[in-house]
Amino acid sequence: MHKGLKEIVDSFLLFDSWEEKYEYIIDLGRELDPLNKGLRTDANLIVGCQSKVWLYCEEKNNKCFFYGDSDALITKGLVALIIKVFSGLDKDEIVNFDKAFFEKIGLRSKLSMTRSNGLNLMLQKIINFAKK
Amino acid sequence: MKYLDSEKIRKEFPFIVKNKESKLIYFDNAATTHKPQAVLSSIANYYTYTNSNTHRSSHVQGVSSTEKYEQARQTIADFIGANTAEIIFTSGATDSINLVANSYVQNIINQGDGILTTEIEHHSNFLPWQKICKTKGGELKMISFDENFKIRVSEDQLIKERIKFIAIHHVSNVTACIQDVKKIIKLAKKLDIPILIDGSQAASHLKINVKDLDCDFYCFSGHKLFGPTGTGILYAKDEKIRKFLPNKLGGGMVSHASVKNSVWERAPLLLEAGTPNICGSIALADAVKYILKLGLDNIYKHENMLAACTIDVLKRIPNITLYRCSESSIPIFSFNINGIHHYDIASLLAENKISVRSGHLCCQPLMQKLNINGCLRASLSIYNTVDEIEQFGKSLLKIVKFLT
Ligand SMILES: Cc1ncc(COP(=O)(O)O)c(C=O)c1O
Repeated sequence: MHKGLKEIVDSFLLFDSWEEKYEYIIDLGRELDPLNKGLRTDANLIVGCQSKVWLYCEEKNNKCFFYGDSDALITKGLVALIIKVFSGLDKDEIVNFDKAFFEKIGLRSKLSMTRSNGLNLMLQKIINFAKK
Repeated sequence: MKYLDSEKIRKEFPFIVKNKESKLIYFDNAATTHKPQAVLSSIANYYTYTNSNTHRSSHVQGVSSTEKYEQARQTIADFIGANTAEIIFTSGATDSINLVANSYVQNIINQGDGILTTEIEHHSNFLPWQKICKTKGGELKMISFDENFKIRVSEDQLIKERIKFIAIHHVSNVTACIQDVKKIIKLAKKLDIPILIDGSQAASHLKINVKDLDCDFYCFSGHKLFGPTGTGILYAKDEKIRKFLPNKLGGGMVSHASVKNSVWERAPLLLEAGTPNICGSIALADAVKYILKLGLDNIYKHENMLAACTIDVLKRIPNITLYRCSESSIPIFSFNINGIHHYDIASLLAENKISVRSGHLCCQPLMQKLNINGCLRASLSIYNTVDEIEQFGKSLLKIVKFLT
């Protein structure tokens, strides 16, 4: 587990109310680098049923970098969280990433196969990018 | 004045009993309702004591299965004032509507003909008509509606737009509006235009009599009516059902089949090819009996009371926009809080163990008309209580404060 991940897991373990947990998630979204207007395109849009997610992937010096945004606060926070988890890893690290991580921080349901948000599709896009 | 004993009703729903400890509040009843013990027992009893194919076997269980299946048809027919030969078992409202589209409407629409519907319809009562218009060169026309979501049709429009078929909702799954379908049906009859009423959101709330309404088609799903998923009803008026061409071919729908030729069965069997959902249809009839035992008048008054309480609670939420017919008694409430994404609110309500729906509610044309990308929807049923409504209001207020 890289240092950023450990930090996230530790933070989640401390929360004992939904307010704290979501304050943290929403703050992550607020700290997210704004997505370049030119990247907020339909091609980068992951169409979820309820909230929109944009995700742009690129590879530099054998590392993968991700940039994203969402129109909903909580989703944007989760986008930021996923970017924090995956951005800067190389392709092998992404493909072999242990998804139990999301279970550990109690967010597995948010990433399930529902159409309620584009997060699962976002995760798939990241993994597909790494498999290319 | 209490019309229904909600404490007693809650005890009859195992799902509600199971979630008593966790205090789950289920406000997504327009999507699907929970099932009373009577329905669950019906399912278990069917497979334990009766299980056998219908209309085929002459052994004891086979006869009993057929009898129960046909009794279920009678129960449903009585429930909406139809004859048994006019009741077709389907897998749900979507299936019922597609059956009318594929077995009937498709054959009466020609180049330049109009099909009339509304932007308020659920996709299930919109997409089949759009498709027929595309493939047959017809035109999909819209009925306008006022700020209360009431639709208005004129004789003029029906003539000018060469309308050959009308499909409208009885009660909207977004706005809760109860349309004056009788008036519209009367107008359609005057011009001899067949009309379908989507009763998906009406059947568990209102007394329905298809003969009194005089519509050609009426449909609803079993699962929104305390029955099992995968069950549904299509009522098709006798004179119309005769004109249906079967859309699925197979066992049970022919009276004679040979290499050269086959002879169709009479309706409704003609339209129920293959082994039907025998257990589901019987359990649906038991759900109907459960409703009748409570009494639709009592349900109506009880829900009216729940609706008034919910309105009171929602009025206290700042910056709320309700998309709702102000005259409606149906406890469905679609809304947005200005400046906050509906998904954020739904997520946090879920954290607070309150289940509501958020998104476009399968009504994208209406969302476009309202110029929104979705909304929240709380929808209540007979087992919901005033305490739950108060709790919902408190949580919503807290969440709105948290997000602003
Ligand atoms: C008004 C309306 N029509 C049709 C349907 C489709 O019902 P089903 O998905 O059970 O076929 C629904 C379900 O949400 C509805 O609310």
